Amino acid sequence: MKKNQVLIGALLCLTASISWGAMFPVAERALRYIDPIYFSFLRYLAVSIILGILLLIKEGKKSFCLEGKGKNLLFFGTMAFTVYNFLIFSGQDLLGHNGVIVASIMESLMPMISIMIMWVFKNARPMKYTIASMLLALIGAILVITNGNLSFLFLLKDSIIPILFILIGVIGWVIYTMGGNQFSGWSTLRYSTLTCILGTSVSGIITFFATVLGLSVPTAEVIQSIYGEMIFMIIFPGAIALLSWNLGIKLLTPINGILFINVVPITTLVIVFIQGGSLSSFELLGTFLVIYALIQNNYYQRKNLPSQVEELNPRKVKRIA
Amino acid sequence: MDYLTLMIIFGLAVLWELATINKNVKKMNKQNAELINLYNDRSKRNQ
Repeated sequence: MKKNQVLIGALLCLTASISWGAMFPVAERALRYIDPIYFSFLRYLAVSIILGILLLIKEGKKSFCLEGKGKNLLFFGTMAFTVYNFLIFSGQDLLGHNGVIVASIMESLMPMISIMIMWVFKNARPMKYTIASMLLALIGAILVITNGNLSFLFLLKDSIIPILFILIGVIGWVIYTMGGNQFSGWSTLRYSTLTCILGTSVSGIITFFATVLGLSVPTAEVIQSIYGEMIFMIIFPGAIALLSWNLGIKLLTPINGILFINVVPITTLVIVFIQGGSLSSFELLGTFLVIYALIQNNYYQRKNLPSQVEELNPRKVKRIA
Repeated sequence: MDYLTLMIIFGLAVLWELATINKNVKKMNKQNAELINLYNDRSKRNQ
């Protein structure tokens, strides 16, 4: 890997993680004025337009051709831009101030959730060290969610719905990320733009029906009051983070790039602290446990990598033959 | 110029740069795939 490639890849992953970490505290203020459904739909409507123009300029009209993959693109786009966005912000909104850190910590659990999905649906049993890391990360997440008060678990009936919303939303994003492998011949910009446009169309249909059923349309005054937050959410966690993360992972490879997801809860905690919010020792300890579990899992993965590479080494195969 | 305008200009500039990197990464992946194919062909011939 070239030095330049590592530096650019690291910068891209860092930009994406910091943007995502800042997303939840910024969204918290916006959600005081606007419904999560309209908030997500309007945000990605703008992102779709920006990415669409960029794709048209950089790759031309033919890059909008779906090449018979429309169904898959629609599915993955819905997972990311409808399921993830509607549910994570609805969950955060329902949980109130605690929702900021809970949503952020769930986001950092993505690598662990993808391992679980592979285990359940593809029967790819993880190594023992990965299971241990997953349990450690789960303990960390429970500490953050319950704020150290385990009796909270028995009172979960009040919070179970928002937590489930956030969890399902994160699973949606994990499925979207995994779906990217099916489009390896496509550029990151093309996959991101087409899924974004299709996913946002689904969000538009849902928003329309929700409005017909009684959801209030945000007024110009409401939009005016959250203008700054909306601009930030559209440009940074919306468009820039989406492209930077996918490009950074391509440059650094997933095993290196995934480590940067740790920056998400760290950024959230720093912003909550700067905003004057209180951070309990349980929230700090829980976040530390999740980060430690991710690094530990990554360390063991690297340790096991040489033997796997050796098994795939054509020279070795030749020697055996 | 207020900070929001600055944020928009900076953000769009970064996006433009990302779209350019995106094109280069696509090119790089294509070259890597060609190199791997060449390596595989050579290995087969050596065997």
